[in-house]
Parts: sequence; C-alpha cells; structure tokens
Amino acid sequence: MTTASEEQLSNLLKKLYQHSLEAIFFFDSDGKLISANAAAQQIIEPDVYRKIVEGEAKAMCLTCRGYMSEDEQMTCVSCFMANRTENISSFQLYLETKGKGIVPYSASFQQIDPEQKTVVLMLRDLTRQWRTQTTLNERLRVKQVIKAQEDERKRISRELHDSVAQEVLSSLVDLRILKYMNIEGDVLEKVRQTEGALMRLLDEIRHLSVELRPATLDDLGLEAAFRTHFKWLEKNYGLSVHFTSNLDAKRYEGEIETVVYRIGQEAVLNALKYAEVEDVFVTLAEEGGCLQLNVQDEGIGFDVNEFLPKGTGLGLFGMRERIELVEGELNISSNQGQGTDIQARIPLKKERKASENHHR
Amino acid sequence: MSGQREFNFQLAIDRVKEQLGYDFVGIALVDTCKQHYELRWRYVTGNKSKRYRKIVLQSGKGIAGLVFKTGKPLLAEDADQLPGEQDLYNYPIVALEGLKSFGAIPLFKNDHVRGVLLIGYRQPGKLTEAAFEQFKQEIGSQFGAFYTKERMKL
Repeated sequence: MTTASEEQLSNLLKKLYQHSLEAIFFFDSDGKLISANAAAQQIIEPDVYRKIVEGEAKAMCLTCRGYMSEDEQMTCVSCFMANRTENISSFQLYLETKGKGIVPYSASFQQIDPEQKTVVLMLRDLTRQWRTQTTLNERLRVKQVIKAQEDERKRISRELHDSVAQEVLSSLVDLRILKYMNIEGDVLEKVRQTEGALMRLLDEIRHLSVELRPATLDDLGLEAAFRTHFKWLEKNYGLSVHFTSNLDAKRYEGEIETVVYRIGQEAVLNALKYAEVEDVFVTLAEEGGCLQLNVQDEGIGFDVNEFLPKGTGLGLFGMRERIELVEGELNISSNQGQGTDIQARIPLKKERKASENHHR
Repeated sequence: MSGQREFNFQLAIDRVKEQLGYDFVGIALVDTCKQHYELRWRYVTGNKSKRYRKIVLQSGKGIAGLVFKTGKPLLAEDADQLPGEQDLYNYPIVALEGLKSFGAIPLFKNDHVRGVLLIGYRQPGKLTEAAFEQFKQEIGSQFGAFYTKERMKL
C-alpha cells in the first residue's frame, strides 16, 4: 500500500462514495439500509427508496428483478441478500430503475465488517456493454444464418433439378410414347391431359429450383442469372427491368456472385413491392478493382433517416449483412418522391480464401 | 376455340361491370395454343394501366393461378385484412390495379378450369359475401363457352 495518510484515505473514499457513477449501498446485519450514495438514489424510484430507508422488510425486492444464474437469466433462487455470509465478487443483477425500466448491472456483494456484519452492494451500469455484446452476437448469428440458408437452398435446388425433375421428365417421355401406341378417342384425350398436367408439374419444379437458387448463377455467372431473373419478374409482375452490364460474362468468386445476386434480387424486389413503378434500372460494372451494382428506380422513395419499414424491415438489414460478408459497402440514397438508388461496391481481391465453391 | 370467338367477352364484362357497378372486371384465360399452361389476363375493363398485359401467371400463382389450380371461388372483402397482406405483391393484378375488395370464380370447360373471372372494388369492404353471391347468381351457370359451378365441398 502507498503512503496515503489515514485522513487522505478517508477523504478519497468519501469522494468515491459521493461522486462515483457506481451505485453503492451499505446494509447492516438485518438487511436494513445504512446508507446509499447519490448514484444509488438516482436509479431507484423515490417511493421504493423511501421504503428501503424506512427499513421495510424486503423493500429491496421492490426494485430488484433477480440476478443471472447458470440456469436462468433472472432468478431469485438463493438470493444474495438472504445468503449474507458469502462474498460474491461479480454477478449480474437486474434492477427496475427510475424511468429506464429494467437495466442490467454488474454487481458485487461483500462483507466489509465481519463483526458488525455490514455488507456493501456495488452496482455498475452494464447497459452499454450489454448492448455492444448483443449487437455483436446478432451480427455473427445473422452471418451464420445467411450462409446456412444459402447452402441449404443450393442443396435443395440441386436435388429438385437433378433428381426430381429428371424423374418427371422420363415419365413424360414414357407418356409421349404411349400416345403413339394405337390408342384413340377418350384414352388419347386423357393421355393428352395427363401429359399437360405432367408438363405443368415439371415447370413448377423447375421454377421452384430456380427460385431457391438459380443454377445459372453457378453455371453461367451473374449476368445470365440476372437476365433470367428479370425476365421472370417481367412475366410474373409486369415489371420491366432495364439491365446493362460490362462484365462480358466474366466470372467471379462464388461468394461474391452470390452476394451480388442476392442484393440485386432484394433491391429489385423492394422496388417492385414499394416504389410503385413499372421500370427499374440495374447496372453491373467492374471499375477500379471493384464490382459495382446499381439498382435505381424513379418511384415514391422513402426517407432514409426516418425509415419506418413497410414490410419486415429485414430486407435492407439482410442486404447490409450480406455485403459485409465480402467486405463491400452499400449505399442507399432515397428521398420521398424522388426514387431510390442503391449502390453496392465490392472489392475484388485476388487472394481471398475461397469459402464457397460453385463450380462442380 | 370457335365458341370463344363467337362470344364477345369484352362486351360481356363491360356489361357485368355496368350492371353491378364494379370498379374492375377481368378474365384470365389459359393460352391454349401453347403447350405450356400459361394464364394471361385477356379481357379487362375498368383498368388503370396496361401493365396487366405483361403478366403471365403460372398455375398456383396470383389470383388467377390460385383459382385455376383449386377450381374454387376466392373472395377477399378487404385486401388489407388478408393474412398475407404484406405479400400482396404476389397478387400482381390486385396490387397494380389497386383493388381493395375483390372476388374471383373459375370458368370450366370439359370439367377443367379454363379461365378465371375477377371482379373488384378499389375501396375495402365493398364486395361482401352477399354481394359475391349475387354476382354468382347474376352470371349464372353459363358464360360464353364456359360454365360455372361449385365444386363439391368435402
């Protein structure tokens, strides 16, 4: 210990007690409050604080919402206040605070005077740290979810395309042979109808497969996949997508192609759902070592700063998460009544580990 | 499809719209000349844009696709109250014509659904169950080369 005199030390401690951001409570052997500092008084509802001061039994429980144990997020099982001999250096405590609702605190609970059995409870606001942690966790989880979803879609899409569609096709061929085998009248008509139904089924399977994940993306690349998708959009929704590209069928790493495709898909879908337009403009270009995707519409637009999503709001979020996977940047500019412009830039680094391999 | 050519669908739906006061009436028909089953909105009246012409529906997709596939009538008194309201864009004709209250019935030929007749209002709640029933009565069992019917309820 350094050489602070007794007087200095008590002065410092007093200052700490008065000005600390940490809430400090002293309790006597019966669990009655001896003293609480300004920070502590600030976080507790005045009503509840008065009751604690008056020494009402279990008044502390009026503000306490439990602590975190191995089993539960918030629990009262083997409460620290009841079990007063034990020193706990750190645990998480939830308090119902004045005006801020339930707030997590990092708490410590120690006996500082074995004779008088005086204990001190100190609380440190964990909200910030807590929020940081949650956001980080969420980010990681979203990335994993995106990857898992993409992999699973790819698998099912392949399965549908390679085995289910093939089986249907061979039945269709058999049925066509049947048409030329001395049948007529009702039987022929029925065979024709069945053929039609089978063809519809085959179409549906193919659509499903493409919707899940276009094989064109893996086999022929971004431009082809986009063209097919936009044609499909025009057919299904009457939306004209004007697509230009200077890529010349160049191929990129699987992960990048997936990200660009999905972002383009999402952006155009948003325009379709919310922009109230008939035309959307998409450009794809490689410029200065970057792959650039631009999706533009002249629709109703939205306020980027005061954005209240009409849908789930997950679309824009998902686009950002995806672009982060390939260390690119996403720029969304829009104004009420002035259309929306979405720009994605993805750096094309040569030596990046290939985590997703398309080419089978 | 000589029967179809003789029957003037445009005139017929114009009349339906006039008589019953709908905002929009449309008929989707299966493209029979193609091997693929494709549904298109062939005759419409009261439309806001011509975008419907671009739309080609697959079986099971959109209003027409759904009615085509199931062979059952479909009624939505209030489009915003539909369970999948956020996915309204999946019903392109409803979204781009701004229909808020609509109903559709299948048109049969040789016991197969060949077309879909759609009626709608641009205000919610106007096409009630009773009004839809009245519409079905009004149309009757014969519509051009097609007939309407109720599939047996299981």
